[in-house]
This record gives sequence, C-alpha cells and structure tokens, in this order.
Amino acid sequence: METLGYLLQGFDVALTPMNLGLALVGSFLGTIMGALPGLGPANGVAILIPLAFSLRLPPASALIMLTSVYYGAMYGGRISSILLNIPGDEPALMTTLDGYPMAQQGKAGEALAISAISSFVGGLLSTVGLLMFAPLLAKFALFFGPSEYFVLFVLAFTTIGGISSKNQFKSLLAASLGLMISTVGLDPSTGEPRYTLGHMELYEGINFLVAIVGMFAISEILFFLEKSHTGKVAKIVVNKFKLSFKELRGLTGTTLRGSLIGFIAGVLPGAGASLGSFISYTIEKRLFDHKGTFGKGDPRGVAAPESGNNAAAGGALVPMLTLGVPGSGTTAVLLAMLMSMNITPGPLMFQNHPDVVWGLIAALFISNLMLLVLNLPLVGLFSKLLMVPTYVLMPVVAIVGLIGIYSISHSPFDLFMMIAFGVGGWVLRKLEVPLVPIILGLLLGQLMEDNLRRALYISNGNWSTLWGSPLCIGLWVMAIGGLVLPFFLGKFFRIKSKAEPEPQLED
Amino acid sequence: MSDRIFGALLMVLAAVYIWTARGFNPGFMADPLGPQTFPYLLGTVLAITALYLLVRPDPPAHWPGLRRLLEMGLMVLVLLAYAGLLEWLGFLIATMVTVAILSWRLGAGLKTALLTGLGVSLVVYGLFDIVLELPLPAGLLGRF
Repeated sequence: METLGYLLQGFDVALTPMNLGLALVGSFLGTIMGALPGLGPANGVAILIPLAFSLRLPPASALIMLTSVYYGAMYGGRISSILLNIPGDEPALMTTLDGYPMAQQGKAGEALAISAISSFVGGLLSTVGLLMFAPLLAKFALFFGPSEYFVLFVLAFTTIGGISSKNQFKSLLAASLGLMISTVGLDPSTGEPRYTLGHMELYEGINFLVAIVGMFAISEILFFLEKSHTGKVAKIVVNKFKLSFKELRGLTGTTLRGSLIGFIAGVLPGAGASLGSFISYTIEKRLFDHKGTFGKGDPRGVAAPESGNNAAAGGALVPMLTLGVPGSGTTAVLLAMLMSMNITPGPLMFQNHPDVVWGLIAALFISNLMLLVLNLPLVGLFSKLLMVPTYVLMPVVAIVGLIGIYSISHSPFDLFMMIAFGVGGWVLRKLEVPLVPIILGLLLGQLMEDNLRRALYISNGNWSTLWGSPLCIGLWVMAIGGLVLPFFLGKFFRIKSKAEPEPQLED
Repeated sequence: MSDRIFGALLMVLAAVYIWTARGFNPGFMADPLGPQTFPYLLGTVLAITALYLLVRPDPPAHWPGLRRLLEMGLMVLVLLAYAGLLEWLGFLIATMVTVAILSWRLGAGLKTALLTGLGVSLVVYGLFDIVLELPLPAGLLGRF
C-alpha cells in the first residue's frame, strides 16, 4: 500500500510536460537506435549521456529520457530482425528466427505488430515486477555494511561476463583493467596522486563518460571502417497487418511465460536481455513446438523472445537501482549517468532521492505505452530509417559523441583521450575482450576500494572480516559460482544462430 | 599469437602498476590499507589473467590487412585532427570536412560525401547550437 502512495507521487513527477516530452523523445530515439544495426541500447544511451549532462537536466528527467531510450531500443531491435534478418541489437537476435520467415511469407506487418504487442506486455509486466521487488531489495540492502558491499562488487565482476561467456579470464582481465583505470587520480582518503604521470589533467581521475563514449562510439566506427560497408540500400516493404483477437489470444500464454523468464533473467547477475530472449524462445520451442513450425515463421517464435527481452530490460533495473550494481552493459551506462550527476544508486537513493526512483518507475509505465502507440502505426516510418546508409549514420555518431563530450568540459584533452579509448576499445573487441567489465570497473572502482578500506579500518586490518557474516559468505558463494559455472554451462547457453551478428557490445 | 602478445604486454603492465604502487605515501593518519593495497590486489588479478592468456591463448583474431590498417589509422588521425582543430576552425568547417572524409571512406561517392558533410554539419549545428542552446565553437567563421 505504501508503494502505491509512492507510485502516485512518481506519476506527479513523470506527468510534468517536460518529463512527458523527454519520455516521448527518448522512446522515439530509442526505437531508431535499436532498429539501426550498429547502434544498440548501450552505445545509444552512451552517446546521449553527455547531452543530458550538459543540458543540465535534473537527474529524474535525465534518467526518464535515457531509460525510455533503453526500453525503446528493445522495441526497435526487432524491426531489422524481422525485415532484414539482421538483428538491430544483440537481444533481438532470436527474433530473426521466426520473424524473418514471417516477413518472407508476406506477413511482415503481422510479425511487427505481434512483436510490438508482446514487447509491450513484457515491458509492462517487468515494470510491475520492478515496482514490487525494488523496494523490498532496497530495504534488505540497508543491512549491507562495507564488507558486504565489497563482496557484492566482487560478485558483480565475476558474473558480468555472463553465464554464456566464452572466456571468463578475459572478462576478469577487462574488469581489472577498468578498476586500474579508476585508481588514476588523487587517492580520496590520503590525497596521494596515483598513476597521474605528473599530468595535472589526470589529478581528478579519468572521466568515465569520456571512456564510455570513446569505447562505445569510436570503436563502433572503426569496426565499420574496417569492413567498409559499401552503402547497400535494402528495399523494404511492410504490408498492412491484419490481426484477429483470436490470434492474439493464442499468444497469451507464450507472452506471459516469456515475460516471466525475461524478468528473472534480467534481475539475476550474469544473464541480461540477450539470454532472457534466448531462454524464452528455447523453452517455448522445446515445450510447445508440437508441429515443428518454429523457425518457419511461427508467431509464437516472435512473441516469446520479444516479451523476454523487454521484460529483461525492466528486470535489469532492479539490481542497478537498489544495489548500485548493474548486471548489463546498458544498465552500467545508466549508472554512469546517475554517478555523473552525483547520485549513487543503492538503498539510500530510495530514501534521499525518492523523486528519481518513483518518477522513473512511473515514467516507465508511460513510455512503454507511448512505445506501443508509436510502434503500431509508425512502424513503416521506422523501417524506412533502416535505409539510412552507414556512410551517413556513422559520421553522425562520431560527431554527436565528440561534441557531446566537448560540451561537458570544452577541453580538447578529453577528446584526445576519448579517441584513444576508442582505438583501445577496438583492439580489445578484436581480441574478444568484453568492454562492459571495463566500464563497470571504472564506475565501481572508487566505491569498491572505499568499502574495502572502511571494512578493514573497522576490523583493524583483519582480513577475515570480509567473510565474517553469513551474508558475506552467501555473496562469496554466488560470486565464485558465477565465475566457475560458465565453464560447465557455457556451451549450453551460448547463443547460436545462422544470422551471426558482428562482434557486438553486450546489451 | 595475438593473445600471447597481449598477455605479455599485460604482464608488463601489471608489473609496472604494482611497482609504482610501492612508492605511494601512506600518509600519517593512515587506514590499515593505505593507498597501495588495492592497486596490489588489482595488479595481481591482472597478472593471473594475463598468465592464463600466455598459457592458453584463444584462436587468433582476424586482423585486417596492412592497407586497411593504415587507412583506419589515417581516419583516427582525422578524428584527432578534428579534436585538436575544432576550436580554431570552428564547428561548421571542421565538421563538414571530417564528416565528408569519414563518409567517403565508408563507401559514399565523392559528391555524396561532400553533401553528407554539409548536411550533417548544418543539421547538428542547428540542433545543438540553436534548438538545445549548447554553444559550439564558431572559430574562423566567428571572426567576420
């Protein structure tokens, strides 16, 4: 009941004209970014953060806009999956399996409509889940002391590679690189300069926005330059859809199951939207594919992954908001945005910034509805955007990224650093070292060190405090499980498909 | 092979990182750990993962050919030049040139590339400077 009161306050925040407008802009941009191959939720949100920052949006408004982008990208990803057999972003990979065959049978309109509706249901149910579970988890997290937080961060790093990770060592390696970058600058408790190489510019540490935009936007451009896509323009036709109520009712079970699985996958560390859609699809296929129609244009094969990945997006916000520990790339980027505005997510955010939390949750309900309304009639327009050639899109991404960072600090030094991070990001992606753990390390490094030092300060230098409480031990067990399990389960969960995407950033 | 080289480089990095941490001044009212312990831990984890890469590397990465690499290097130089010259040249000129070059290398014809440069710089300028009121450097054009 208490929650309902907060939610009403949240709607007060979300329903101001400015926030409604931002939600609409975010939903629209997000759908476009999701649809365009090469731009996904993580890098889409990343290039918009500097803008939100330099426009001095209040934190609640900025978060509303950027999570609308995130939800929107989950909608948009399906468009190119269905029409071109190219997933617009990684979570939309499974949608190609039945979506593209449907389009080939002249039922592109139906596939798009079904996927929009199941995306809506997935998004709606997971927002309800977020509403129910986030306050509970936040209350629970109030019991965390410095040792628990330190172990929680360890858990975040050992699971970020994901259960489907190919090489756990590479994601640990990436995490330690990110943490090492975060130690550059003045040590907050002693004022000792660390790893600054005598450069004054580095005393404040490396701005994580510079690193994120560099690694996400610039490295993407380098990938396109490497392949030098000649601007092939696809011809796209979308028919008018005809859906009967009966058909939709036949998909109810699939959509509900997909939403539930997706939400759980989103909340759990190490899973995320790609895995949510993968598991929803696989389970649906294993259990209900009696006539062998999956993979040949079965509408259920579109509804399952789409409800799954949208539900995972909401689920992934639960650990990010309540513990301050994101489980996926996009939520890590959203965390970066909050931290750049001096808000540290976690249980205290629920007490100190209730407007941000509840405004966000209310806004998610609204933007999900906006997305459904935008996506049913405007899908023709969005699919026209798929014809934007790479040679226009990628330079725009470069310029918006560079100018966004420039507008924060007006310093060419930051721009040089951003390009350097881009080149480094490209090399790492070529070596199949994931970038998301680096981002996470950069973001959490200072908090992690701070909690470690406080824990050891309280215990007078006795390291056993780190496994001194049942909660700590539980977290250690999960952390070690997250590190070891992929060696056994990895093959089973790894996403296989004919339409292999380019080396993508994780969702 | 790529993984081995990378692993070796990271080993060196981890060593330098840990070695540097030895010199940090713990301060007089120090906590038990001081500024150097966390770096020690990180350096150790990095060294272990790097060692793993040396011992069991993944199958080699597919690097582009030398020509393509040079071309990409050139584009990085273009971006660096953009960053360095943005304030002097001004947003419109710098963006027009940079976008045209990038777009040309991404497969547009020469004329299309020039038009893309012109269009993108004007649209982004309109959106940022006029609609969002984020001032962009005027540079050379501002002196008239």
